[in-house]
Amino acid sequence: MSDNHLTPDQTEALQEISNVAMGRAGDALARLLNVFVRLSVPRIRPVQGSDLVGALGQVQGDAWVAAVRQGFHHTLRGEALVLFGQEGRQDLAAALGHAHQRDSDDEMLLELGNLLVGACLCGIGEQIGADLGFSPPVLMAEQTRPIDLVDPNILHWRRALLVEIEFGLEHSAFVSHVLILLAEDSLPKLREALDRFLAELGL
Amino acid sequence: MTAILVVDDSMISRRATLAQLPGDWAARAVQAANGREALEQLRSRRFAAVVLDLNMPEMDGYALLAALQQEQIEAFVVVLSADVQPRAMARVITLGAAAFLPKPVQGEALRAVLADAGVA
Repeated sequence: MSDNHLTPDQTEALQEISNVAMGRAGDALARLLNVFVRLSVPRIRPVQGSDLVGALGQVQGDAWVAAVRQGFHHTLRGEALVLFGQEGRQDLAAALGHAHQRDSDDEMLLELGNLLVGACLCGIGEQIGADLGFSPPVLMAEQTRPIDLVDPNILHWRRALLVEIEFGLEHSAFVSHVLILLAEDSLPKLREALDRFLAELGL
Repeated sequence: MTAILVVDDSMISRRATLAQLPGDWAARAVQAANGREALEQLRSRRFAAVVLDLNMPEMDGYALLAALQQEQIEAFVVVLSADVQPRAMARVITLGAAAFLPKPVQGEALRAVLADAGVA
């Protein structure tokens, strides 16, 4: 298989692996903020570079977001985006403010982005035996629409696999999305790893 | 003869759980992909144990546990979830679950908990 699609079994395996990683990330966030974090079911879908803007629009619509971007490399390569919804963000700041001396908004978003990306990707990597290294997180925008985040003409890949993980805070409208874009040249290794994972389960 | 009900929206996760059940319980197990399907099963028959995921579409594990309490349906429920927040664990125990186990499933821990329900 040379494109960015997985078989149904590989897709479901990656979804369950992402689910476990999401749970660990949610626990890390909950402990940092001392709140209950709402989790949902991770979504996996192939995207073309040209479709990415549309895919970002589907994630959080026209709502204003802040965004942190972090690259990863080694066994798997790609980029992770963390979108922080504007609505209810004061609840996030308030929860973090109770846990820390209040940082600036930029520092807060970078810290949380780094925590979520690290926990999600390390959780995935650990389960499939993939080593991962990370670039420093970068604040892409403090207030923008998701569709304005990425210029498809400057992407380094044509196809990718998108893993979408959503976190929410209980009793708050705040929502954050972690979007992991696995570049197409990583996908052969990912498929091998998922097949091993399935074989270990006897599937 | 009673059976075990395995409730999870992930087919991979259900199959991984079935692979860890003792004896011939896997062959007799009943599967449900969400809380609503599980509730229909639990209304119609008694199970030796229920292995329950939390985050599922349609009706999640919390809602199923609440429905079992409301309808006074007795079941030995083992929650098996990736949501490992201490508050998630406390909530499911408050809602009547007998035990909480983190995903991915560990066979020894699952069999030890199920032994309390007479599943061996």
